[in-house]
Amino acid sequence: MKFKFSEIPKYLINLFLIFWIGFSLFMFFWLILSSFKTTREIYMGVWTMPSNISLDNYIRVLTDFGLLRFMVNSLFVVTISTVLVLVLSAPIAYVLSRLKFFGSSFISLGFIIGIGIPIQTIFIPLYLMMSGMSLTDSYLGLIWLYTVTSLPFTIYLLMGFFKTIPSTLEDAARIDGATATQSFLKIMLPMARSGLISAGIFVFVMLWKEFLLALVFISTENYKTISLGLYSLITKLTYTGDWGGLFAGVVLVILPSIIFYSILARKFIAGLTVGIGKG
Amino acid sequence: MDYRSSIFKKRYKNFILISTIPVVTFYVIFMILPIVQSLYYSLFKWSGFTSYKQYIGLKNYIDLTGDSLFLQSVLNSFKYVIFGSIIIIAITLMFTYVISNYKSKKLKDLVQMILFVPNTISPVALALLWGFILNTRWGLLNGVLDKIGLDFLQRGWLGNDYIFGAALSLLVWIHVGFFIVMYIAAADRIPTSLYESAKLDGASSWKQFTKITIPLIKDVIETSLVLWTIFSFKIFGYLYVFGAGGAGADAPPPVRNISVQLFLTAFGKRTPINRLAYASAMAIILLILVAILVYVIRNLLMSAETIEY
Amino acid sequence: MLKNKKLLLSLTVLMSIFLLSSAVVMAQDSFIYWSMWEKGEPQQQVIEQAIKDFEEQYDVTVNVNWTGRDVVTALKPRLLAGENIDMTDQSGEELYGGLVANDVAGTMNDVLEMKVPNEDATVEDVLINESYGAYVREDGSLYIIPYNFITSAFWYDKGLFNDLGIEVPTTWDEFLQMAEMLKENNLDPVAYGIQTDVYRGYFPYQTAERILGKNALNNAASDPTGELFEDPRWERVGDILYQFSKEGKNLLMQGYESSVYPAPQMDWIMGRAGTFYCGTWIPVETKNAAGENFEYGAFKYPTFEDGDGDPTAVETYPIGFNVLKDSENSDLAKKFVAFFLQEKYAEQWVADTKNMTPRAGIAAPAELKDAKALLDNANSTFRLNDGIQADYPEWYANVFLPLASDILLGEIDGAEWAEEMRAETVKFWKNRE
Repeated sequence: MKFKFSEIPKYLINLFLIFWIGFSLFMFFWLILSSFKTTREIYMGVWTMPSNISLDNYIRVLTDFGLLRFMVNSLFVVTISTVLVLVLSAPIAYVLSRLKFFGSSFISLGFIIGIGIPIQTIFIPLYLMMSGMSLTDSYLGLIWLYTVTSLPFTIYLLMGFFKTIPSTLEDAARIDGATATQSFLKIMLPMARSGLISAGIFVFVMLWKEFLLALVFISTENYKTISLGLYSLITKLTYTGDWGGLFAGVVLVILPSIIFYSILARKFIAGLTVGIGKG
Repeated sequence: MDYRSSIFKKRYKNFILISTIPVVTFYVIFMILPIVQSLYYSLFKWSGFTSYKQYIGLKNYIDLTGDSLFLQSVLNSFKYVIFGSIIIIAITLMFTYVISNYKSKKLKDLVQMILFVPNTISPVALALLWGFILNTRWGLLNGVLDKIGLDFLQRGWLGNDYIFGAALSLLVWIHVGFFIVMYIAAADRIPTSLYESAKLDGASSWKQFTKITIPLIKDVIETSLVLWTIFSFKIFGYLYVFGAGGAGADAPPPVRNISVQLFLTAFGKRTPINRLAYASAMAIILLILVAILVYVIRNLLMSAETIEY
Repeated sequence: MLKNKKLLLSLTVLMSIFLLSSAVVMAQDSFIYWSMWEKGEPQQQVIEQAIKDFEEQYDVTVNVNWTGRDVVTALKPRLLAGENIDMTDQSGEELYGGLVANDVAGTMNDVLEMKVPNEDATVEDVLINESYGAYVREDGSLYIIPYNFITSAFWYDKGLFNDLGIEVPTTWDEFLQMAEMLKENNLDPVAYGIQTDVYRGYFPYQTAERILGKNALNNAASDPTGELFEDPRWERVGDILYQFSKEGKNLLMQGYESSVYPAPQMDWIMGRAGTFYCGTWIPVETKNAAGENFEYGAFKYPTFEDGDGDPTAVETYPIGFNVLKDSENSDLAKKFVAFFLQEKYAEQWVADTKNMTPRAGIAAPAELKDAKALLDNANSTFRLNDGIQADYPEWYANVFLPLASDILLGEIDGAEWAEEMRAETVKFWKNRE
């Protein structure tokens, strides 16, 4: 590649990006390295190498705590919630972003404000409601809550995506006599696929990490999600001063989600870019 | 298009009703109604342990104006909005510029993927990790600075002078990865023909980016700005754990946003402040602030002309 | 687990039918316990074993939920929704600040009179009075029965002090001499991190206990006029705190202004500082990082010639059970509380969790021997943070902690600190009128 004076910003930013990514990777590497150290080695200094590579930390953490169970719980609850959220949000986001009707802007605003509602504000009333329906400490209750609380954000996000879709095809279909359902399913949904996919990733990721609702609504070991599991793990290991074990636990929790995400991400990001050149 | 006067109105009516009414009802019952309840609670003196409450009118709101920790958390929230949005959007745009120019799709995907990874990790783990990185004595950052001969840059990153910036840096690191996926997806939807004609005119890639890409992904930039504003007030897990060094302590006041302050007031953690009604008043203030900010931002940006392509 | 329960349930049903036929209706008794411990912690394992024994011995069921440290937060919405939870446990300050202050905790006085199973003694007989004495209210009611017992002290490595020829200090002057000697040996005198509340609070209230005595801070905190802070002895407290700071005699670890848990204790255990002030949990939290020859020693907070407080006084705080006020099975739950105080569990507690037991006559683990001696020699005890964290939590968060930070960073001097404490206290209470 030949050097062009006008392209200097590009080189500089690339350099910054490389530094950024390098730092992130290095941090991850450091985390993994630390998970093999003993507690004493961790606190000796950043550059202390583990004296011997053994899986002690991992074995200790794995045998003592039911991390796998938490992961399965999370996977189950989060997947179902994500699908539910998308199914519920896509039509209404389409309607709100593309069709003006009585109250549409009011409803949109209502959802946008909903994104700003902190869970802490509403969880006492919610708890009383859920408790009345015997939905605390259950998968169903958590799925329910995750779905409701994700709606505003997802709808808002999808509205943004629907807005960017050009209206020519839709107009043509309408003139051809297509019903709203037909033009939504046959035209808008396929065109909004990248939007749906990234909305799906975001919802999944947000719920995978979700902590507060789980903390309040789940208290039995059987239904605990991975975030709760990690929180417990940190409590247990810091109070016994087992920092080597703590790092191993963190690795065990984040590694599967990173791997899982990398598999998904390839497909998803590929999905996003299909839209190129079709404007 | 205004469908009210359109002949298509009837054809769309059922679809609108079916897609809107259940979701809105669901939403109103489980999210709006509880807010009204919270608003109601905010007029009481109530710990939240028993149903006994004492009506005190607007006293909680008056008390808030003299609560130094709360006021600090409001200020912090605004600092997160302002500094965060400038830094995050600037970096995300810069990255969008270079990444969207990558010829290799694989590289493009890979870079986006790596940037997004922090978003897949539990806030509890990240906040803990970040605290370790910024530790004065055996933290990674000071360690690296020392190794590469920049030891004069070493700081006590978790002291009062820097801890806000330290928390913000964590949020920036995470959210650049969050927004970049949105930006790139939007940038990729821009027809290549636009760039080709610009190239024929001899425009540099930077010029193409500022003249074509930015205007055409304006919607997404706006979305990210609104989202970040909301996040700044609402983000909880990272700030709850960061600076507390684990699960056991309260986050120090310089990093708390309203959301964290609210939680600590309603439930305590190590300090048993149990003022649920008072915290409800904070929540109402938080909602009002978010609503005003979002309204202002949207109006400022929406007034600009929308570009069609 | 679930299968066992089902089995148990069907057995119970069968038994009930059998008993019904003999005209006696009997359902298996049970109670619900939400615990501050997490599955897998040594404390949890000891309690779980006792629960198993209890269930077998009395043919009852204990439904346990190992909730973790945030148990009070988790209880709150459930109590509000009217769910029955019979028993919980936490530190005295958290139980009193959360459950007692909000009138959901039940009194535990009757447990004191209960007999400890297999022993010829009551609960009151076997417990060291100091373990709960500070928690008896003026009206005589007690809301905690401790099974764990914590105090705080300056910790040091005995080997290190021997090598350097440093004597353990008693008075403030000796403490300052010790600090000088440590500095001469390139050690920071006191490991410390101001950014973590627990660490930050220790010196201000410990000093107040020595100079003004028990409950002085607690009383001053609750005085809306601020007059109690006009006592000139508060300025003396401030002066002492100022001496700790980097602007004073610089006793605290280099970089303490940016040090966060667990950095201070880890820096101390790694030998970068000579002493560290903390609770008796510290050997457990640091043992993995301790050097091979590290020997835990502890000495009490220094005494002052001009102090009006008891120079032998030490802080104590219990961790223990509370049976909630609205508990439906309080008798059974209280029976378990007494059951758990049996000698064998107390011994197991000491051995497995490396903590002290409030039961008299059981030796502390080796690491805590010094700390236990401090307790045994104390003529009086006081509460963690002199009780302000539990009694006036917002004052603690809004007034006490920020000003503690200012003085320990040396940003204000002793006189200014005393004046600020007064002014901020007045302001604080005025805002809440």
